[in-house]
Amino acid sequence: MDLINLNLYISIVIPMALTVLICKGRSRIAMLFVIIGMTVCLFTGEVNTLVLQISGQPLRFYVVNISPFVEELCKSVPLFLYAYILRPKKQDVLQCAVSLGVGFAIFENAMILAQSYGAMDFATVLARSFGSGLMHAIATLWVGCGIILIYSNRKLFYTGSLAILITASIFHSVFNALIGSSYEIAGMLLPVVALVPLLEIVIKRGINRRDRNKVVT
Amino acid sequence: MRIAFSLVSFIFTLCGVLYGAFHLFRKDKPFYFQMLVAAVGCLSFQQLSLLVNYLVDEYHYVSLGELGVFGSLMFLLSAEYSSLNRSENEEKGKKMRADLQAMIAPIVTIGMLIYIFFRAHTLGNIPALLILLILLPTVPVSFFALRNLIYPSDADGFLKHSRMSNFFVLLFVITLDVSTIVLLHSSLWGNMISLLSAVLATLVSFFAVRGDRQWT
Repeated sequence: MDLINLNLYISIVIPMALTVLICKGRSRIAMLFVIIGMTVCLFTGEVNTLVLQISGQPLRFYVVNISPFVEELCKSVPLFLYAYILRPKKQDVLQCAVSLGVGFAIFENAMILAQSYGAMDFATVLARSFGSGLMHAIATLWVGCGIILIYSNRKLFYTGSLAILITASIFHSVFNALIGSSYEIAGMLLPVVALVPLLEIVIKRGINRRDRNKVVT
Repeated sequence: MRIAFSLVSFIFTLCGVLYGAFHLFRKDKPFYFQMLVAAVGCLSFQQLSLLVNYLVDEYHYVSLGELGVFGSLMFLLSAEYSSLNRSENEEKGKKMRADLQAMIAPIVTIGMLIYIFFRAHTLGNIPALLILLILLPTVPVSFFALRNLIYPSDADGFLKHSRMSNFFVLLFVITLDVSTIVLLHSSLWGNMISLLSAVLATLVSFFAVRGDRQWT
């Protein structure tokens, strides 16, 4: 494991873990999922390095076509486990999905910044934080919305989960393809455009709705 | 030429998903409806991915976007399978007859898949085994779509009102297989039929909304 990533992880996560003790209720779960997102990011970084070596593909091909699937798969596992083992309320699933995505994006940005410190200007850092942060949050939010959809129908677990994962991976792949090309602005706009319908779902089904007693069964 | 077909297909599927999603957000819809819109959405992402690959000059690779068809078929399978009502009070004879009649669709699709597997080593840059894997869900989807078309026995009655949508699901699934077969022989006609499948996906969304209006 890259020592700089591990050091970075420890220095961010330990203070945040203390915050989990202070927070209560839904805030605590959200904070916990931010930490889980960061942990998943650290783990995914290692998996990506390993798969890149094994596959022997060029980096650009890997970033566009393989890493999105690996990342989305790793991100969705804690969410699926949480939803199917603890059976939370549907608002909590969405909240945790966003928190997980944001946690992942925070740590990914931190890793990239630490590894290429000095090589990135302010505008690049701003664009990367905004685009990548939003993209990870949206991709995981989509997985959360999908879990809510298939939650009531256990017999559709495999087909539904696979379909959701593939959709999130393709979205991620399109973003990676655009952001690493001359169409960078289109890449940054993609998550913004995708956010609109998802926000509608969140507001309607959503994180802040009053009917919190409604359990997804 | 391929980029033009991808662009038109993307526009069609985007219209379909936006139209479906707009109605989806207005009030809660049946699960079947939600899955149909998600299937068109996944197909739209696939077309967007192919389009972007052409724009950034990476079309010579197998793209992750190719899995969009598989994702879309998985959503359709979820929709069709979930709408089957397996309650005991249904007429068993009618149900069995519908099952037997619906077997025609998977037999046809299996036949097409076997043809694709033995004739195609690669399609563009996609290996034959991957094509087969992507198109494999057409077999169960075609069965359940035809089964629901012959005998719409869903619990909440939505299927009866959205038979046209279900009919277009069946057509879409068969068109996917046909377009792959035609692509082996003629690029132009294959792309034309691929475009037709995008139009059919849009019609699925359109008729699902119409069915929902009649249902409510």
